[in-house]
This record gives sequence, structure tokens and C-alpha cells, in this order.
Amino acid sequence: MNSVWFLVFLPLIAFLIGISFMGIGTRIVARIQRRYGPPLIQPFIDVIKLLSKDSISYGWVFDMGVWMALAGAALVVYFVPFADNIVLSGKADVVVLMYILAIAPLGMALGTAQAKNPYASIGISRALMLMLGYDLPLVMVILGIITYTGSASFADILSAQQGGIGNWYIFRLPLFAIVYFWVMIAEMGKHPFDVLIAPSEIASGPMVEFSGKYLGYLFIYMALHYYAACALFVNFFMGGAATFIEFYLKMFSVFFVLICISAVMARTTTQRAVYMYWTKPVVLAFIGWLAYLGWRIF
Amino acid sequence: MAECPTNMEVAKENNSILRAFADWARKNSIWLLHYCTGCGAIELPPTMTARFDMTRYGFAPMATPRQADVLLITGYLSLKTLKRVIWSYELMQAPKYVIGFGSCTMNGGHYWDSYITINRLSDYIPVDIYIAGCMPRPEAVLTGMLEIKERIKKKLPGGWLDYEKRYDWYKENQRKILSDV
Amino acid sequence: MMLLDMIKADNLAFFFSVLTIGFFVANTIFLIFSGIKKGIVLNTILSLFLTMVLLMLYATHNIVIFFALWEMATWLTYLLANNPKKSSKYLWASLLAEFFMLIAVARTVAYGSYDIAMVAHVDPLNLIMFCLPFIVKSGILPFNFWVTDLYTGSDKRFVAYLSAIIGKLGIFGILRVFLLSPGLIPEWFIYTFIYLAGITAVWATFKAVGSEDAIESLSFSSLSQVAFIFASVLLMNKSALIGGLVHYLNHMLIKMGMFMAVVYIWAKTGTTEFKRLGDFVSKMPFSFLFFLMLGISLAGVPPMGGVISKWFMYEGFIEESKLLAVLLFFVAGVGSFLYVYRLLHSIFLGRKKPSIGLVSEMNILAILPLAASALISFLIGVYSRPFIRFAAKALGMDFSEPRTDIGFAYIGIVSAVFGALILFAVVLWLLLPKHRYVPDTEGYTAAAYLPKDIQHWDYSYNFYAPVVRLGDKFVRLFSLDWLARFWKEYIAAIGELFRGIYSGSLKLYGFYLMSVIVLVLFLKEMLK
Repeated sequence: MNSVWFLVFLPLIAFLIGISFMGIGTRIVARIQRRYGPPLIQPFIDVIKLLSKDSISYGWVFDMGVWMALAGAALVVYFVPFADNIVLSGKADVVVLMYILAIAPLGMALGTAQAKNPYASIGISRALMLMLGYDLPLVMVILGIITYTGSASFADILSAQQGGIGNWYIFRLPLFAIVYFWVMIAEMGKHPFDVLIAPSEIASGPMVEFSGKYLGYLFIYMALHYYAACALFVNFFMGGAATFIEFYLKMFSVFFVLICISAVMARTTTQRAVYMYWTKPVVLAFIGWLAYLGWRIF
Repeated sequence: MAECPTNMEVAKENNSILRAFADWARKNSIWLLHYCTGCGAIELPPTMTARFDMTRYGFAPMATPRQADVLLITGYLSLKTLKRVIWSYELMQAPKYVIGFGSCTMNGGHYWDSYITINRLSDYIPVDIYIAGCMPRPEAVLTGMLEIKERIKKKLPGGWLDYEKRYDWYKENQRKILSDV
Repeated sequence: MMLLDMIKADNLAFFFSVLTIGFFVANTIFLIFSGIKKGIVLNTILSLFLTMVLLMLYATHNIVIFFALWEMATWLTYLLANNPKKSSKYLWASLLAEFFMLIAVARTVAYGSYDIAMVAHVDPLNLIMFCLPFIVKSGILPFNFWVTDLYTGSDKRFVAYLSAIIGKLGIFGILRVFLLSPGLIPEWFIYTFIYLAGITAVWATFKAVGSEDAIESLSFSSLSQVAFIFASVLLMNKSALIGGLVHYLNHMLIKMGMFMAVVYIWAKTGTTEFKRLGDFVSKMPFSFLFFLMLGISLAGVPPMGGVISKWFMYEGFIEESKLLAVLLFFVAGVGSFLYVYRLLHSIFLGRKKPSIGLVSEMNILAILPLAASALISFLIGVYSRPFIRFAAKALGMDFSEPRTDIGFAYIGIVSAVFGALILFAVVLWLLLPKHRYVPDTEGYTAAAYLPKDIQHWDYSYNFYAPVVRLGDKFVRLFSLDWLARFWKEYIAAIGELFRGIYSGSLKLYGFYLMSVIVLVLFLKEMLK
């Protein structure tokens, strides 16, 4: 599957996977709430409808923002191993990934800044502050994995987890897995950390002035982001996958647990969320550092 | 606004397969902006939540007019609200539809002789579907919404085209009843 | 000229001299052509003098000349800052530290040598005393009490100089001394100051995030980056040293460009507060574009240059297994994202305010230095090999690491793929139904009908309030104001004690006189 066509269509495949997650996720939430939900392909229909509507723009920075959001999200997809393909790899995958993950939110933030709407500005400031909060435990986990494996490339991390289910990092480094999962909820913007969207407080936050194809682009960005977050968890902690079906099922299991947790929790405020992220997961990750890496961290 | 704020390109007659695809998408995913103006608004939460669940038909509530397809005027409209409803309608992007809820939007309902509410909504913004009742039960609301889907399926012209064609007439009516728009 | 020959012979001096001269030339061109007329001749002459002093400082190996030039640089900084009341803390701190440096110089001369390489050979305490001014100049805890006052109080055109060159003199000093005395540096010194620099970086980032003024925000950001470079230089690891020098270059370019834009805005509108600025992108689109490129580089996002230098520095720390330090600097890095966004949002994007009245795009000659710094920063990001070699040559190291060679191709691939994806996004955007542009009076206002009052519909004050509230105690703890107040009260209490004795009342003095007479008579009796 390592042909050029695969490389070209990888973002499309990732987009479809992400859309399927969004659709199944809405349906699961609906069932939890004792009702039927929308059809499984509803998010896909939403995206097509949005791309076919009229749209308005506030200037060239607004346009550039959505281009950056889409391109940045698709760029991340190229650096996350897909099933048995480590797509674009090198010796410092994980570090580059941490930087690339920042491009798409920056694009969306620039676009919303030119929309000049205070709701959007509040939403983006909350999103950035939440990012400051969850980046601390996230980088602790990433550094822990890099030091434990001894290398920052995905090839090494995946090969260290081969040889049976007991070798998966989720069983060898459980504290890291818990902290990473905790951080993933905020990264994907789901309850209880979706303060940046907050529909009734700040009128959907950053997306308040997006319409038509701009909103469609943001939806595509969200779908790609769902894919990237779940795929990263699978690659870091569940040993990657050998076939596409196995990959999809593993990602879906992660997403399922996430959805079940997020469907039953309410939204927290930014200050509380950031304070929480700076204390509890950090303590857990620190214990993980001491337990798995020993005293050589100082 | 000096000129009608809609893009005529979306409204062009176009029978290609892409257009059919887009129409199918538009039919199956309709985002509502429920402008809860009057007492009719109370019938919307039951329609959205678990018992009558309108999301299974593809409807979803949205927070801002920029993201919405359908504007739901639920009940009577005072002049103060009318000004803002017109503003929200003009912020929406084509193709867009208006559903008038309840008798107050049709002929004034039982506030027909009030000095501060309007009697005919279709004088000020173009209405596609009315849902009769005071107020309509969730089953009636769902029937009305499914009517919108039928109209899109049958490719009937939406209200926004009428707003463009008779923009001056609508603006004249609005100016007469409000002091400025 | 002998000075130029000396500089060319010494690689480290060459690196720093090129940067200093480049900065001086670019800044002067900008100041001359930007239309800021007040005090420009005096400023330029003093800056020229300072540049020459710095060039001589970079070239010399004689500790007495080094000390004299360092002292001169301190005084010139004080003069250029143009605000005696606010710069007095800086002057006192620097002079006190230089006093210790003088002692170290004297001891080294007594030991028998005038060369910098011999400073560490006397004993480790000598080395620490010599290096104290470097630490103070870089503003590392616990010597950061002068930072706030100097940066916010001094002449606005000078703050660029301060953050780009002078704030980093300490780094040059450390490099000069440490590179010439390998193996003689005490471990505990490096250890302590790496963590102190880490805390300084986080503290400065918090202050920058919470600030309401553009210049203050940029100044604290420089302090944070300087602390990062300081720690990586202290580490004496190959990757960290190279990364530190490239980051020095990068940071100088970034701050030079950003301060140029902000100073220009200050000159035209008279204010740099966020709540009074907004929507400058409509009048200054090119400045915005270059400012955006520099901001992306500061936040450390590919494909701009910040990512290369930060990558090298992180790699150095990870190699030495100092994970806790990496954590502190990473938090500072994420915080940089926050204040860079605030700068972009509140100055250039956002709602139009009255202050935009007379602003127009910068003169082509004034925007040239800004464009040059943005483009060089971009070049460092996509084609960084010559810059890395330049830094390695300055350190006297041979650079031929295959491991990191792949790293460069990597960033090139990232940039290429990103470019292709942007192209795809643009093409798709053009093919979809056309959009139209609307004026900014047409925003969603949630039923507040205000097209006429729309200039107040804006969010630009207290932008990051929750984080500022959370970090408030931490920031105030490390601002050391409480220490200064405690010290002041302590001395005042001792003074009160003395006032009790020398109170100026004749009764008490009469009592003293009588008690002295009685004591003398008593003693005369006793000793009879």
C-alpha cells in the first residue's frame, strides 16, 4: 500500500474515518440519551451541505486562516503511522509532530481574529488557555515515552511494542496512558472540556462568524483532528496495527470510551480546567516518571 | 443595507449532477436557528429532545444565523424583535428558508389588535412554510419541518429568491413599521 | 584595522560582531526612515558608540579591558534608556555585580595572568565572581528585580536594542569564559542556574501573557527566550550550544522586526496599549505579513526558523536527561503561543479603534529591515544548514552529524508537503460557490442592534484572565517585590532603632552625658 496514490489519498481516507467516528459518536450519545440519533453519515451530509452554501468573508486573513486550518490538519495526518505504514518518517517524528499539531489551531485562530467578533475572541482565548493547561501533562507523557523507548521515532516506538499484547505501552506504562487519555479529551474539545465551543454561552465560540465553505473547512479539520488524536493514542499505547481493520477497531475502541465518558459530563470553566490540568495529571505523570524512568530525569 | 445581501450564484438554475448531489445534502441536513420570539418557543425543546427527536431527520439546532439554514419564528413578533429578526435573516447565507410558527405569524393570532406586534410576517420577510396552531404540538412541528424537506426535494423556489426579487417592497414595508432598518 | 583583524581571527567574536553590526545597521535605517524625528541624532550617536564598545568587548581576551568595556556598556545602556528613575535598579544591580567581577580580575592578576582563560584556574569561586555580571545582565532569578522597571520605563526606541543585543551580553560572557575553561566549572553551579533559568522563563512568560501593553509583552518574551538560551549555553552540550547560538540569531531577528513594527505604531498613534489598538491590517498589510512570519517563528511553529533552534536545544537537554528543565522551557514555549496570538489579534486584527486615524503603511525603506528579518528567519527554517555551520564554526566545533542531517531534510519535506496542501485547500476554495466580502459592521451581535456603535463590540482587555488569575501568586512570588519590601522594612527598622538612640532630644542627650559622667566616676572609684 506504499504507492504514491496512497500518499495522495491519505487525507481523504483519514477524513472518511474521522467522519465515520463523528457519525457513530453522535449515534452513541443519542442512544445514551434514550433516543434515536441522526443517520450514521449525517456529518458527511453536513459537510457537503456546508460546502454548497453561500459564504461571506471578512478579508484575506480570514481566508488564509481556513486554508491553514485544513492544510495543518492534513499535514498531521501524514506524520502519524497508518496501520502498517509509517508514512513520512524520520528520526525525530514525535518532536516534529508536537510542532505540527500547533499549525491548524493557529490558522483557525487567525481567521477568527479577523472576524472581529468578541464571542470569537473569547472562544479562542479560552481555547489557547486550555491548550496551555493540557500541554504540560502532554509533554510530560511524550518525554516519558521518548526516554523510555530511547528514541523519538515512530518506527522504534512501534517495534518496542511488538511481540504480544502484554508488550503494549498501555500495560507497561499505564499511568502515562491514563494521563494521555485525560489530555485527549481536552485536545478534541469534548465535554467536559469543550468550554471553547460553549454554544449557549458564547454562541459557539470561534465558529461564530464562519458560514458556508469556511465552516465546511472547519468541519473537515475537526474530522481530521479526531482521526489524528485517536491514531496517535493507538500508535503510542496500543502497538499500532498490522491491518486496516485492526487499526480501525483499535481507534474506535479508544473513541468509544472517550464518547461514553464525555456524554455524561457537564462543562467546566476554563480556570478550573487549567488548574485541574496543572495539578492532577501532572502528579500522575510525575509518579510515572519516577516509576518508569528512575532518577535519571534530574 | 443598500443592496440585497445574497449571492445570486447559488440561486442560478443548474441541473448538473453536482447540483443534484448538493440538493440531496441540503435536504438531509437542515440547521435551524430557532429565534424564540414568543410563547411558541416552548414547543421546540420537546421536539429536539428524546421523545420526538428531530435529529433523526437531519435537523440540528445551531447557535448563530451565519451557520443556520432555517429561521424559525416561533410566535408573535414585537417591533423590537422584528428589527433584530430582519437583521438575523440578512446575516444568514443562501439558500435559506423561514418557517412561521403558530397563528401569530399568519394573521396576528390572538394579539391581532395589539399596537406593538405585527400581524403578517410575510410582509417583512418571505415565509416558506407556516405551521398552524397556538401553539403547534411537536408532531405538527415535525410535519412542518418535513414539508421543508419536501419543498427542497421538489426544487421549489425558496423564500430567499423572493426576497431578492422584491427587495425594495420588503424594505418599504419594514421601513413603514419600524423607524429605521 | 587591527580591531577587524582581531575579530576575524576569533570565530566567536566574528559571530557576535556580525550580528551586532547587522542589528545596528538595520535598526538605524528603520529609525531614520520611519519618520521618528525626536532625539534621533543623539540616539544614533550613542548607539554607534555602544556598538563600537561591544565590538571591542567581543574581540578582547584581556580581562582588564573586558571589565572596563563591560562597565562602559552598562553606563551606555543606562544613558540610552533615558529614564534615570526607572533604570536606577538596573544600574545598582549591574554595578554591584561588576564589583565582584573587579575582585575576580584583581585575584587573577595576582595569580599572574591577564588572560580570560586563566580566570577559572585560580579557583571556582573566582569563576563564579567573574560570571556574576553575566547572570545579572541576563535577568535570571534572583536578579530579575530590575527587569520590569527598565523595560517598561526606558525610551521606547531603545527597548529593541535592549532585548536584542544587550540582554544577551551575558550569554556572550558565559560562552567566552566557559569555552576557554573546560572541566573547571562546578557542577552545582550549572545545575542550580539551569533550573533558576527555567523558573525565570516560566515567570517571564506568565508576565508577558498577562500584560496589557505591546512593548511590555515583547520585553518579557525576550527575557523568557534569553533565559532559555542561557540555560542551554550553560549545559555545555554540543547540540544545546549550537541550538543556543542559532536561537540567539533567530531571536535577534524576531525581536528586531517585531519592535520595529510596534515602535512605528507607537510613533504614529502615541500608544502601545492593546485596548487602544486594532485592525491595523487594513492600513499596513505588509507589515502585518512580516510581523506574522516573525510571530510564527517566535512561537516555534514550522516552517519558520524558531523550530530549528528550539529543536536543537531540546535535543541537547534530552541527551543530558534533564527532563524537568525541558518541561519548564516547554511550558514557556506554549505560553509564547499565547502572547504572540494576543499581539497579532489586538494590534493588527480585531476591531477598528480611533487610534487608527492617521496610520499608513511604512515607508519602503523603513519596511526593508523588517522584511529582511522576516525573510532571513524563514530561510533559517527551510534551509538552515549554512546557519548551523556558522554557529558551529563560532564555537570551534566540527559539525557533521548524520543524525541531525536527516533532520534538515525532514523540515524540508514538512514544508513541501505543507505547501502542497495549502495549494490544494486554495484550489478547492476557489472551485466551491463564490464567497463575498462584507464590511466589519456586519457581525453577529446576538440581537444587540448596533451597526453604528460597532467599534465598542470588541474583546481586547484582560484577554487571558483565568490564567493570569491562576498564575498570580506564582508571578508575585518570583517578582521578588516582597523581598525588596522586606529588605526596605528591615533597614527602616534598624534605622528606627538608631533614631531611638540619636533622637535629637536634649533630655536624652543630657541623660547620656550624665550617665557617662557617672560611669567614669564609678570606674575611677573601682580602679582606685
